[in-house]
Amino acid sequence: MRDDEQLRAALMDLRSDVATLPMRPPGQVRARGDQRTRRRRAALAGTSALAVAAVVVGTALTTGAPQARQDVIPPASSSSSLPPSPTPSAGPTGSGSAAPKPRPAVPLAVAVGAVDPASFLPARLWRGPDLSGGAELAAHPTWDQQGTVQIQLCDVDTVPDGDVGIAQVFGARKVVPVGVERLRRYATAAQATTAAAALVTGLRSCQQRYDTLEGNNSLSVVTADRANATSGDGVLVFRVGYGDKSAGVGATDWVAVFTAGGDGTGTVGTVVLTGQGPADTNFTALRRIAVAAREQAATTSAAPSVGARFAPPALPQDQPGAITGARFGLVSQALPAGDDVVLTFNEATLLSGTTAQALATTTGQRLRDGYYVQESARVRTITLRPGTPVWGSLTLAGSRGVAVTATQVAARLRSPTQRAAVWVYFGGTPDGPVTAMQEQYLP
Amino acid sequence: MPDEDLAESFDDFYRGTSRRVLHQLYAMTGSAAEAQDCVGEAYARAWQRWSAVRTYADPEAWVRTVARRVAVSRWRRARTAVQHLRRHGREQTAPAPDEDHTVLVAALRRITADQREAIVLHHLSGLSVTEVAAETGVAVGTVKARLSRGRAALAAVIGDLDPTDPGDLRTTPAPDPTTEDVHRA
Repeated sequence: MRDDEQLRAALMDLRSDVATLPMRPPGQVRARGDQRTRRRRAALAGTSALAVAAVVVGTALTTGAPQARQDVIPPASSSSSLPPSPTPSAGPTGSGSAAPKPRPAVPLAVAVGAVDPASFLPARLWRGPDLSGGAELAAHPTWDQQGTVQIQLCDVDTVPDGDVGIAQVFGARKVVPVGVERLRRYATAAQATTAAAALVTGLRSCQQRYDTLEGNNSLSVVTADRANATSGDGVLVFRVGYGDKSAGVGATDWVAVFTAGGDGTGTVGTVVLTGQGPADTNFTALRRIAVAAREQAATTSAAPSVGARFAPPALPQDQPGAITGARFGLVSQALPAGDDVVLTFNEATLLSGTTAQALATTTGQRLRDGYYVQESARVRTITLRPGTPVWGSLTLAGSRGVAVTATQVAARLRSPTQRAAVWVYFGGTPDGPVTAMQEQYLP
Repeated sequence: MPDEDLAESFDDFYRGTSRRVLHQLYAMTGSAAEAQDCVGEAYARAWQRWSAVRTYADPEAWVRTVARRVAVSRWRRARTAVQHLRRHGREQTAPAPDEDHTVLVAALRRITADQREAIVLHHLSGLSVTEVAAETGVAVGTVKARLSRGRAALAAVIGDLDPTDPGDLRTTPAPDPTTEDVHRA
């Protein structure tokens, strides 16, 4: 008991370290919450009305001429360690039923190309005593994929291209996903096998990859296979622990990779559990979910339209130029125009992992993990009212997470060679802070 | 409830609890700046659904859970953090810790995140083992094991703490050691 008091007293003493830190006024906290609500509504509502609800400025500020357009390098091929896909079972639960049960389509967080939402494992089938205490789970569409289809730190599949979709499963509190499933379709089973092998290689080489990154002397990534590669269910499970080498503050992800086939096509699935429970429980839960997800993907496989590029969303006929949701890209200019501010925004793709490194090598640039590829031919100029709220990063605002205005962004980006990587969220009403939007297409 | 009453009740809640949650997050993350960010985000989310959160039995526990998950989620975006560090260096918006606390903070950082979470919730937030288990979604036995191992790891740092002492693994809540601060606020 005395030891408890000692420990409690020592922890209580830490209070003096934070006692003098400034706290935001409650009004600012509420404003931040209101802004989050507006952004989410804007992203989910699919409104055709135009307004910039917020421009969330990322941490990257690049200089120099824009990168030339790049072709995306496919994942490096290597020998697969995955066992061949078995013949798909007739029913999603493998019960041998002749007719598969109809299942509700899962709302997808991200979908590019032809990805059938019914291919994803419904959230209710994620549920089990080994996950979140058996609590109810649900899939919700979210916008928070940040311009990439990467779903865990060691993931080398990053490009929102081809036929790929992501579903996120949440618990009741819906704060962070309990788990994520990504499916990517390939024209042939051989292509899927090669891609799955690249994912596995990326997991196994993760620490080595991060160690070689320029400037990374802090991130520690430990991956470990769980020995089930020969179990015959076609699922490989990894434990990925990561944190700061000096601080030890970290987290653990559980990652399963599988392949599924049908109709001569192939699918690569990745399931991630953001492990909260004991290791054995996470392992058991992930294997259970991944095996079920594999069956689900196999039973709903269809001929993919592989090759779809990162196409702009279809525009409503009556709203030319209308776009909704979140877009990642580069603001190349932010100039005052009378009382307003005009942002020039070009969509981009944020790559990382081996794909980014391969591109950096190809273009002779220094090795780095983040790599922006400007593939979109559409350039938008967005006219904002000067008071439009902008969440500024250190780069733009001079301090962390401070709300600045479009005018301040313009002041910060006064050099024509500077560009800021940003997230732009569209939505709201015609009376919102966007006064005009124009588009042009690059040749 | 009218909007202004909702706002007023939220403001009261924020003023009364945020410093305490910040303290707890600081102990869990070892970074005052990181804790500030996570706590700010958690309270913003609380305001988004305040009409529901305010009816919970323990809204502060909800906020604390959200803040912890935000902290974990940030680590899951460590790729971005690496890029950020490479380009801008580590941000230092908070003063350095008291020198006397540096050793303790370093020791807390050396134990696993799960152990640190259990230690802070049990010994600083005053939750019982059962409550820690409920808040973190793991079994009571798992919490006890984390507390035991965490205490053993901290023993070398905190005076003559007995590394073999299992501690007071009570299953009922202890008096909140920071309640007095609420009244002061």
